[in-house]
Amino acid sequence: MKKIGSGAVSVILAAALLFGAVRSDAAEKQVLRYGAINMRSTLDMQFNTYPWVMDISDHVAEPLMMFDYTMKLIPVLVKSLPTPTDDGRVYRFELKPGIKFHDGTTLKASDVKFSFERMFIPENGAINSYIADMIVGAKDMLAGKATELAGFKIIDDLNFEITLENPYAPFLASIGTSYGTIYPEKACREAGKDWGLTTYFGTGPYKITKFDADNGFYVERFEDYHGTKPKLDAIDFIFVEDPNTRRMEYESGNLDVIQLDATLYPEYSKSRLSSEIGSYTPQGTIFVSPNLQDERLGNVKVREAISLAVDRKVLVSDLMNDTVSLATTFIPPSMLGFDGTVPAYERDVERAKQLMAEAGYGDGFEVDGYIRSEQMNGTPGRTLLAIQSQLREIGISINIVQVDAASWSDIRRSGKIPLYIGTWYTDFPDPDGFINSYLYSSNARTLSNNYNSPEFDKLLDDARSTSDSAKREDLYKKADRLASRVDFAVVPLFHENMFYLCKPYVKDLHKSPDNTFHFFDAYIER
Amino acid sequence: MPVPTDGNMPDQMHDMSTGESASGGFFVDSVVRMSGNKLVILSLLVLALLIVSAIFAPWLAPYDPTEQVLADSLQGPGRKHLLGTDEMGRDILSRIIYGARISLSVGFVSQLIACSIGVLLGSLAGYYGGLADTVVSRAIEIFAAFPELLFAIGIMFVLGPGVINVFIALGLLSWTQYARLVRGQVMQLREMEYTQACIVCGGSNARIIVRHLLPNCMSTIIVLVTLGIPGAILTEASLSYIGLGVQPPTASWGQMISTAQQYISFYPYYSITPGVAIIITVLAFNIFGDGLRDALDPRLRD
Repeated sequence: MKKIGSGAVSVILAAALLFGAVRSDAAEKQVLRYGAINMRSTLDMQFNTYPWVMDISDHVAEPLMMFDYTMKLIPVLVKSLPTPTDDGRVYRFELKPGIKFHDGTTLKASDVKFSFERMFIPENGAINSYIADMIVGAKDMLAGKATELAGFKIIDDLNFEITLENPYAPFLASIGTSYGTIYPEKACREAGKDWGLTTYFGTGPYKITKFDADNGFYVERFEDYHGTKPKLDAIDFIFVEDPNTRRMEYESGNLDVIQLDATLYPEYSKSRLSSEIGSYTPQGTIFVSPNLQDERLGNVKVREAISLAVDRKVLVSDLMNDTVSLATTFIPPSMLGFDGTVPAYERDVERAKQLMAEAGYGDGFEVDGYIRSEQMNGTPGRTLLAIQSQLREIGISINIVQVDAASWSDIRRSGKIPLYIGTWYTDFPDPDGFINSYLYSSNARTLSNNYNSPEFDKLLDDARSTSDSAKREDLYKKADRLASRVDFAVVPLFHENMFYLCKPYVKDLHKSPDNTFHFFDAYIER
Repeated sequence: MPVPTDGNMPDQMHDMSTGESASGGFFVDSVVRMSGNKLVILSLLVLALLIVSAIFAPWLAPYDPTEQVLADSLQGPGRKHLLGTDEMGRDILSRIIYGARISLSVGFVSQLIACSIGVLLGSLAGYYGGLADTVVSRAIEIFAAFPELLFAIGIMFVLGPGVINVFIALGLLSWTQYARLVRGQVMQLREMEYTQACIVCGGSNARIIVRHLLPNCMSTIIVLVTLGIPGAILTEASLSYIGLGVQPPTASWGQMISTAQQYISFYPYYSITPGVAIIITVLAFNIFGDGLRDALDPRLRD
């Protein structure tokens, strides 16, 4: 009996030591827990525009070059940033040798070609092809007239050349976004439509080791990473749908970093967590997006009436507690093409009513205002509620329709949302990635805005094809004025500041002004 | 006694089958019995108060429940706003008073729909039996097989958000309870002597069901309605909480709790007040329903 007892004690002690060792190992492991939102979307960046998905994808797969946290474009997969030929049309790239994908295969120029061509195959239905459709042959592929990208020439496994139709100054910035991510050809072909849904990898500093589309993604450091090794051993992207639960999880220590909606900033800035609040100013705009194919909203007088009836000053000061800045144009400040001379939008309810009457809607009308359910209690939802109240003064009654993220993507892409609060942020600091990606006719169609102005499109085409910065700036100013001041294709409201909560033990979280979270430099020091 | 040729039953037979007594009637007796239960009377008063405030909301509410004064958002309880203001600067008391309209109308209308479907199908299945019973019983089993809230969410996804659709969803959700109980009772009553007598006297099937069988199921139906209402109110609150129920800016208690939860650390009163309103209403209906069931149960008579 005694022997059995001492034996049991020995087993327990051994087990305790073993588990102790495991626990200690786990404790030493640097794992950052990020409270993420599940967009119910593929991780494949050719098929979504969500910053929440970029947060994950950017750690796993990389474009040829990307922006660092100071918004400087740096080479990632290429040895250096190429300089175009004198005519501004041809770029020659050289890949760094020996770059490994997470499956152990080596990156080749053919993978890059495959990744670009993939976004132009019409059957694939990529939604971000605008970032590179200025490459010679891209439009032919999109139109189904070609199966190969004529402007992409492979020289050898490491060298390739890209030829553009016309000079396009922000070309490197454009393909340096998440949408230009390079995928392994063989694995991507084998996965087919499951790429991004059940399988996803690239050359990034982290590889996915837990692929759980419902609960989150666990990524661990890729030991064969070609660049500077990240300090964190792993990042746990934990999906927490409800913003309040996310905050409670953060406060109880189960999450290390979360985003904080600007509407809650005043409360948190007065709380004990005030020292844990970080902020950044993304280049973006919050606006009313009317669907120009809607019979009522297709009337420019109605859209101008909406602009005149909105009380932007109240939105800025009372709704957003002065955490945002008033919008005077669609293009945000600090971006090329922003026109600082444009005066603030005026508010004139009587004139708005008169315009409604002139448009034949003196008695007003009802319109559905769509919103993603998870945004209802955040900035877009509160803005929609305020706009709903303000537009009632001119007889426009907005029926709020809440939809889940997956339905939202489908309905918006079908062009059937009559009105919503747009939240648009640039992917690279150039107006082409901002105004073009939203309002150019082919893009506006997939975003339920349906602005289709040949004059506007021409201004953007002209701006794309010139490398003269002053001329480009002038063209973008004209285009912006046309869309937001003459045609009222969008009704800009304000430019946001964004906030997040970060535990004090998370160091070197360099938040860039773009709208994604990159933890490349971060580490934990308790 | 001559058999009436027009299918009408003699008065004496009618009185007997509907269970009325010479002392003033079954329902009068039940009301007298119920009046002795103070808790039930209190719940009845609470319900009366809620109904009155819902009906007279425009006169009782101090402010328009949708009126936004953004500069006054998230104010604590005070003289200007007794229960404070929400994140859009709207008066919380006014929204709670108007919210009672939604909750009560959802409760009553959904139960009316459920009751109509359930009683009709239950009585047909119970009275005719055979194929009718098989079809209705299988339908009951199929509908009852789904978890309630998930089923409601599914219906709301199909129909889309909105208060009318909440009525329909909750009506479709709870008719099975009525159908099951009415079917059972009608099956029993069909074999009673007075039913057989009515058949012999030439009473039509419709008349037998409507005039003789259903009145005897009335106490069960009333109790079911009373106990079904709080369930419907809670389900509406749940649907509105997840954004599928009543849409903003219409005030709904569930939706208020949903919005308020993000401010729970800073403004707890905002979450608590609509929560308390739901608790009081549901509790009052439950106590009243229990009291009613006791009063209407002939086995519990003095």
